Amino acid sequence: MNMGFSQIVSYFLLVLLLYSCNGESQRLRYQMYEDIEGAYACFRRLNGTHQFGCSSSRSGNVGVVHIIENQADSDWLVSNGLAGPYVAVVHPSMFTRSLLLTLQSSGKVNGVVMINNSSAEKPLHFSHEDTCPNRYSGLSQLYGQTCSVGEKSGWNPHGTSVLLMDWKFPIFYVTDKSHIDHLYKCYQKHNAVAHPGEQLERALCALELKSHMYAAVNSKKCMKRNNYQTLFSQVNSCDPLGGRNVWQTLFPRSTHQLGNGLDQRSSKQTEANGSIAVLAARMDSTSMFDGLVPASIGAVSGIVTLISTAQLLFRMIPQQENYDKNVLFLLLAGESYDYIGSSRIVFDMKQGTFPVKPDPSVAQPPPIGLQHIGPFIELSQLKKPADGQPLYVHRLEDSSEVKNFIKILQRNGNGLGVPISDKLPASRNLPPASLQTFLAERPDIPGLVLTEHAAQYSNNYYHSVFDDTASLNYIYANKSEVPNDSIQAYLANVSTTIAHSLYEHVTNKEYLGSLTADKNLMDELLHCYLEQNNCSLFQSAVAGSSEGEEKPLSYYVGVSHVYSLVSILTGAAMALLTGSPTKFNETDCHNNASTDQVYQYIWVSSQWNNSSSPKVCLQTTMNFSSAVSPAFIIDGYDMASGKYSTWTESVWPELTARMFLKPPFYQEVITLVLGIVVLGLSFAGVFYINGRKEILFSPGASTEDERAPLIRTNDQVFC
Amino acid sequence: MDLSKVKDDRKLELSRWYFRGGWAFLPFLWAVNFVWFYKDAFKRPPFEEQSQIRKYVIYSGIGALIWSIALITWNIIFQKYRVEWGDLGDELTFLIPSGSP
Amino acid sequence: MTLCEFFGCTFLAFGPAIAMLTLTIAQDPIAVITVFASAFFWLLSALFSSIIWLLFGLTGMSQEVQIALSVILSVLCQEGFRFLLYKTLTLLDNGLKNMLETHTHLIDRKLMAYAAGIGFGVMSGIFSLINVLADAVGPATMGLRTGSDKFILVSACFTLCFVLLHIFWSIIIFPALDQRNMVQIAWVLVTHLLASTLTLLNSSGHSMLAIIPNYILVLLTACVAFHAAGGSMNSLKAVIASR
Repeated sequence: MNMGFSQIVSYFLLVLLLYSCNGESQRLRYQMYEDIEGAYACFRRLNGTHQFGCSSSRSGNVGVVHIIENQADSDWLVSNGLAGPYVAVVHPSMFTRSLLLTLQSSGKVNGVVMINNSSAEKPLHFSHEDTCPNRYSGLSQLYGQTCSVGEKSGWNPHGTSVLLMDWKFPIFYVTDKSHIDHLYKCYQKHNAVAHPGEQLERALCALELKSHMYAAVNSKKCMKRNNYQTLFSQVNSCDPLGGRNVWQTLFPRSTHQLGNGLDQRSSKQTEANGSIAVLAARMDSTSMFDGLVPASIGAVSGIVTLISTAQLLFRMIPQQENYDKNVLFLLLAGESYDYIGSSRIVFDMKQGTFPVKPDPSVAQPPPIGLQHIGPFIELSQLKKPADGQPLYVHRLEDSSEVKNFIKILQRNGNGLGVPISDKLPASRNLPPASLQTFLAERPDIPGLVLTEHAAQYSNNYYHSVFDDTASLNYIYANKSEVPNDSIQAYLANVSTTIAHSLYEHVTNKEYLGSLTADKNLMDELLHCYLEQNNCSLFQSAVAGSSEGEEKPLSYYVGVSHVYSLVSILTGAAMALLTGSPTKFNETDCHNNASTDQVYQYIWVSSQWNNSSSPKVCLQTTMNFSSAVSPAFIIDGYDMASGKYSTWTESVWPELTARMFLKPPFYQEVITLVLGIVVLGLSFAGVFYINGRKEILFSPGASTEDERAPLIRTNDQVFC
Repeated sequence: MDLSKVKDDRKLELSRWYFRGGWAFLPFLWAVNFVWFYKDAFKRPPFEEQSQIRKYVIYSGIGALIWSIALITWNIIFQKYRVEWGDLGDELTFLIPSGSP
Repeated sequence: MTLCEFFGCTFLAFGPAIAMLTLTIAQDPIAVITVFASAFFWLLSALFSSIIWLLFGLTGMSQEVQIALSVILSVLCQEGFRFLLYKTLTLLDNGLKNMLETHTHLIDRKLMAYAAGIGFGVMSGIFSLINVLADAVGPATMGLRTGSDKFILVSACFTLCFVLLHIFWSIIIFPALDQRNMVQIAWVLVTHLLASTLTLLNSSGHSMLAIIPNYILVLLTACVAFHAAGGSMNSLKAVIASR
């Protein structure tokens, strides 16, 4: 676009008049900057004593682009780079703790951008979590730390703890191919030079990263600062992490007799100790970058297995039958952050307020206490083992109940092609699991954790952005025949194993029927959780109320006052697959159907694989319970004590990145100096000419008019 | 008001009231007093009210100086130790900086 | 282009104008009013030329023709409004003179011409440069996609050119209109057209080719203005001698 000056006039007004609605803008700004959309940013999280993550300055961190593909590039930056500060653009294979520490200590780096150049392969392992996840929570109350003292590598041997460090610069992750291409081209054209000194003479390609975080120091300080609201600062600086747990019981439990005809089972006023078996899995995970937490092995595997098991169990045991025992399904939120969900449940159980606050005036499920918990089975990190390898059962104590249940699992599993091993890993500790919070409070709960890994995680991408569909080797079958060696078939078999075992536990009889977990349901569940969260199952579960988009869910627990999509959709899916139909219409379903706290009613499409099937109102015992850490509920809790999770997330105004050309320093200086010189000369010149204007102009002095004094005090005339 | 047109006795009254007013935690009044009437107090040839104006000007000047030193000292201490004071520092701060301790 | 470049270019483009405004215009209220009035007239000329653009469907033509025609159109509108400004100010001046029955003008004719020129110049400068300056405050410079990183400096130089030219043109044309001096009026028109059409060369990247002739024009027009304001070689010599 040219800049003819008289033409600017008409053009400007014309642009205003005609193109304001068009959106097509010739504004200079759009030619100077390239906004990098879809960049994921590292943000700041805090716990009771420290802060972790990254932050930029308020106006963003600007740095010259320097691409680091190998160690030589990094050395060049640290020892030779002169045109700093820089923003290092790093490939995932180079994105290591040592590189980040080197860049931070060099003092020349203002930011780091990780790019996923698709031509490069995924690194072999990439985990930013601690080698011992949740090291200071769970059973650490009893044992000091949750990894045994002599252990060198912990459960997560490739963990780098980058997530648990406080970085002084912003870190972004860019996946968009066109932006990466532009970045490379810009770098090649402007920044790639033979001698470092050459960089000082030219305009350089630069990046501006904005990820300013409001919170600082630790949770204790910033929660206190939240209370200092003044006229000028009304925004919280941090929010506690948390969400909602999903819970459901196999048989309804009610304090009062419900006479609504659907409930044939008499209410249990008191249950025996150990009569409620628990099947639990975590619903969340984490990664370094906001909005990108795929968690296929870390969370999804457990969720889908649990849902499938629940659906099968509900089919296997008709609701009319009457048993002493019950099964509680738990999907826990916030477990990656010092067991937020499970510690809250344990706290509530001790107070007698789980699952609901006692209220004698209404029919509700009676409180469940820790003493009621029978076998506690947790599903964690399930993936298809290598040929012939078993699943492993981790437990703390080999009590008779535990041994019994393991035998039942093994017997059922062998018949279904799911070998289960009860060999204990040498360290005899439990892997990081929600069971730990229950055991910390009551060590005699018979609990076991079912995982694919033995003594160490085989998930090389634990708590990272690369724990995606490829880790599970999942391929969507989409209503066609599900191959027998696929992950869908395997997990379906695992669900069947667990369901048959729980059946045996509840009914005290072996299962002799032929019901097994539906492979197509498992296929659809995996598709929904891993690939597209507006799939037909989720659409049916929310009766098309437009939750969900064409992309995978993000499994980060998020802040407690925003209900994550994962919990909403999981609860709805559980209810859809296990609920019983009623005759209510839509308005009644939403408003009138619920007369007690025992059942919930949801409006869904009747078939899970067809979201346009006729809608029906389902009655279900599924419900949510608050998953906010007791640290934020107990008055005067000491945030440094480490008893409960104190994780909070900082509030931020925006997370943006943009690329542009930065002028060389000498040019800026010259321009400024030139401007000041011109200004100075003009003042001098005008002053000089003004002082001599009588001599310079009209030297011959013709008429009176023209020689009138130039300044007339006009007070008399105009005031 | 144009000081050059004000009569001397009025000037004395002004100076006196500025001096008195400054005791209400208004050191700026004292500073203004000092600057405005410095010429009258010291640089003019003697006139009737000059000794009294001089007295007020000197006292105001001293008062303004003491206040300045006190405020600057407090400012330096606050800026240096605010972070170390932890919660007390936060309670004393009007606008807590975002993103830093 | 960062804050340095922002201030550098602002001072470069508007330095003389700021100096003139603070040192010579600011003390005289009538001159201030004249500056504002002439700035407003320049804005009117811009509006008028845009309306003509719309009405005559100039949008329908190719890019280069559009721009060339619009340059000529806006030059003609500006000069037209300069003439209107002259008429308005003269009418006002004479009218007030008659009404108050004084023998002298309320404002010196030369100062009026000079103030009118400043108003025109500053307004045209602001219009050209303000968008560029607003985007210059950020950390970036031109050149990522098209253009070069010297863009803002060149824009500021051109703006300086035109600010000075507008001042000189007003100084020339007001007495010329008084005395019906067609040569000087023609000079103003021709040089304005020439200067503006030279800027069309910017689009093809030949900024240097455009700016040097423009500065030559500035110098020539300065000489003519000096003469029109009543200066001469003698007065120059007198000033140098009297130091």
